[in-house]
Amino acid sequence: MNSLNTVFSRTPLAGCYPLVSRAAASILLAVFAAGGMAHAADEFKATPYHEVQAGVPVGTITKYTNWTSTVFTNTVRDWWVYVPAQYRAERPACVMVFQDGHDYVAPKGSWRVPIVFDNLIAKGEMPVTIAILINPGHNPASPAPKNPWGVSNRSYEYDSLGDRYARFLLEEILPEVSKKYSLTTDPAGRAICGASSGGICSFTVGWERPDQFRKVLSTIGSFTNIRGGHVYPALIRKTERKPLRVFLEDSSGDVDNQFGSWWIANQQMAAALKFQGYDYKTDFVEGYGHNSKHGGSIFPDALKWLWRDYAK
Amino acid sequence: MKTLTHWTLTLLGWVGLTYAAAAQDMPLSMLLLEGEGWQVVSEGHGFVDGPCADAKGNFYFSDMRKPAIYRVAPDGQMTTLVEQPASGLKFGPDGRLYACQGSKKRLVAFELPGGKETVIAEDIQPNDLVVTLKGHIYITETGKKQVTFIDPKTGAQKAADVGITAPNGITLSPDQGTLAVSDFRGQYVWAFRIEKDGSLSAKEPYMTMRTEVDVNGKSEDGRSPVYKPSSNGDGMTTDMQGRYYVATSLGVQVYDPTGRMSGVLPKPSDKAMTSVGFAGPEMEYLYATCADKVFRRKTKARGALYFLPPPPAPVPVKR
Repeated sequence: MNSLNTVFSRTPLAGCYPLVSRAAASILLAVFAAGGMAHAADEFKATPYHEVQAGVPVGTITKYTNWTSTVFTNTVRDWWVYVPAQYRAERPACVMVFQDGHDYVAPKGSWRVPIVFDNLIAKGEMPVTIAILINPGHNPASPAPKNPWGVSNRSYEYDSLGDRYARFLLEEILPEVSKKYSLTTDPAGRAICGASSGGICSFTVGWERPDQFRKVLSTIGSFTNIRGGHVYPALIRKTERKPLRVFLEDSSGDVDNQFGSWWIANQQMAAALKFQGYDYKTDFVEGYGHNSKHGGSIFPDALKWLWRDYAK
Repeated sequence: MKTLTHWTLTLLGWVGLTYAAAAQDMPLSMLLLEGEGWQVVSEGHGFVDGPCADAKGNFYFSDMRKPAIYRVAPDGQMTTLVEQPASGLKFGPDGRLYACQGSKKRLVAFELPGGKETVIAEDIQPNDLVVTLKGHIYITETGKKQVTFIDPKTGAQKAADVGITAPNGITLSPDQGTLAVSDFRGQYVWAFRIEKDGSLSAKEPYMTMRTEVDVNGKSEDGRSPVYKPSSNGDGMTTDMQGRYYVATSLGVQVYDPTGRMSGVLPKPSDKAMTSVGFAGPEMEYLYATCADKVFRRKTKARGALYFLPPPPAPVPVKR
C-alpha cells in the first residue's frame, strides 16, 4: 500500500476540472493496477456461470463507438449493448447498466457479463435483461488514454454527487437503446452496477432517481471523499427510505488513503442501509485489494439475489 | 420519604433521563409509519398553498392561480369556501380563518361558513402567517426581509425582525414560546423567543437545512461538491412533540425541538413544494401542497393547533 500512498500524495488535487479529472482517473488507474499486491486472498474464482456452457443460447453484443454526449459536453465514449437470445420485442426486457463497460463486456475478465447473463437467463435465475455497458467519457482534446481506465472524465462523471449521470442515462442512452429494443419502464426492472467509482456512481443514480432505477450492485464502491460521496451514510440515516435494493461488496485489503477507507466506508454504508431498513445484502471478505477479483467471483450470486423475485 | 427508597429514586432518575433523551433524539422512525406513504388528496389545481386545520381536524388549503380556498373533511369530501387567493392560512382563537393576500397587499379574516370578509391589515405584503393563542399575528414579508407583528385588537403593526434574506415559512413551538422562520434563499430556519409583549428576541440560526447539489457549480478545489445556497425553505408547521417541519426543494425537512435534523422526507412530486401542515381527526396526517396537487400521509406525530391552549407538559413521544 505504500506505493499507493506515494501516488496519491504526489497527485495535485487543485485546479480546473479537466486537470482534476485526469488526475483522479490516473489515481484510480493506479489503484486498480496496484491492488492486491500485499494480500494473499486475491484470486478470481470462476464459477460455471462464468464459462460458456454447451446448449445455452448466446446473446448478441453491439458496440457503439465515439458516442458524443450532450449531458457531458466535449466527451466521446464507446459503449456496448448485450441482447439475450431470449429477447422478444413483444415483451419489454429488463435493463442493467454497467459503468466502465469495457471491463464488464470482456469475455476473459472477472465479470464476463454476456456469458454470465446467457447462463443465468437460460436457467431462469434472472429475467431477460438487456445489458448496457458504458465507458466513461474522454475529452477528445486530451491526450489519448493509454487504456480505458485512463479516460479524462471518469471521476467527474462517477464520483460527483447529483443527478447529472442519471440524466445522461435517462436522456441519452436509454432513448437510444429504446430505438431498437423494447425496454421495461418498471423501475424494479432497471438495475445498475459498477466497481469503485462506478459503484458510487451506480448508487447515486438509484439515490437520485429511484423512480427509474431500483436495483444497485456496487463492488469496492468509492463511498469516500473523492468528490463528497462520503456523506451518503449520513444522508441515508436521515432520509426516508427510498425503494432501492442494494448489494455491496468490499474487502479488508481495499484502499485506505486521503479520500478515506474504502473498507470502513462500505461498512458505514451497510450499517446505514440496515438502520433505515433497506433491502440490502453485503459480501464483505478478508484480503483482496482494490480490484474486481472477489466481486467478479460472486457476481452471479449477486445477480441472483438482486433479481430473485422478479418475473422471469 | 419512607417509601421513596434509594432504588425508587434511582428508577425515577432513569425515567427522567429517558424522557429527557426522548425529547431530543428523534429519528424518522419515531415519525413515520411503516407502509404509509404519500397519497394524493386533491389534484388538477393551479398552484396550491396555505395548508392548515380547524379544531375538528378538517384540512384547508388555497389555490393561488385558480383563486379559491377549500376545506377537505377527514372523509375526503371537498368544499369550496371562498373564491379568493391566499398564500398562507391559519385559524385564530376567534374562530376566523386568517388569510395572506400579498397580491392585494392585505391580510384578511373570513368568518365561516358564509365567508364574511374583514380586512385586518393593509399596505403589507404577507407571504405566510401564524396566529397565536393571544390572537397576535406574525407574518413574513419576504420581499422586505421582514417578520411583521400585528395585533388586531390594538391595531398595532410593527417590524418584529428585519434581515433574514427571504423570510417565508413561519411557525410556533407547541408552548408558543418560540417562533421559527424559514429563509427561502438561505440554509437556515431562524428561531426567536417571543416576549410577553409579542416582540422577538434571541434570534438564532437554529436549524440548518440541506440544500440540493448544484451539478453546475465549480468548487475552489475542483472536486468538492457545490451545494445550492438556497434551500427554498417555504411553509412550516410543528407537531405536539415539538418537531419542526419545513417544505424545501429537497422535500420536508424535519427537526427535533433542539433544532437538530430528524430527517428529510423526499417530495412526493418533482414540482415545487410550497408548504406543509397537519390535519385529521387526531391531527395525525401530514399534508403537503405541491404545485398542482395536495398530498398527505399518516404519521405517528400529532400536529399542533395554536388557537388551542398548549398542554401543561410535553406530550410523550411514541417509539
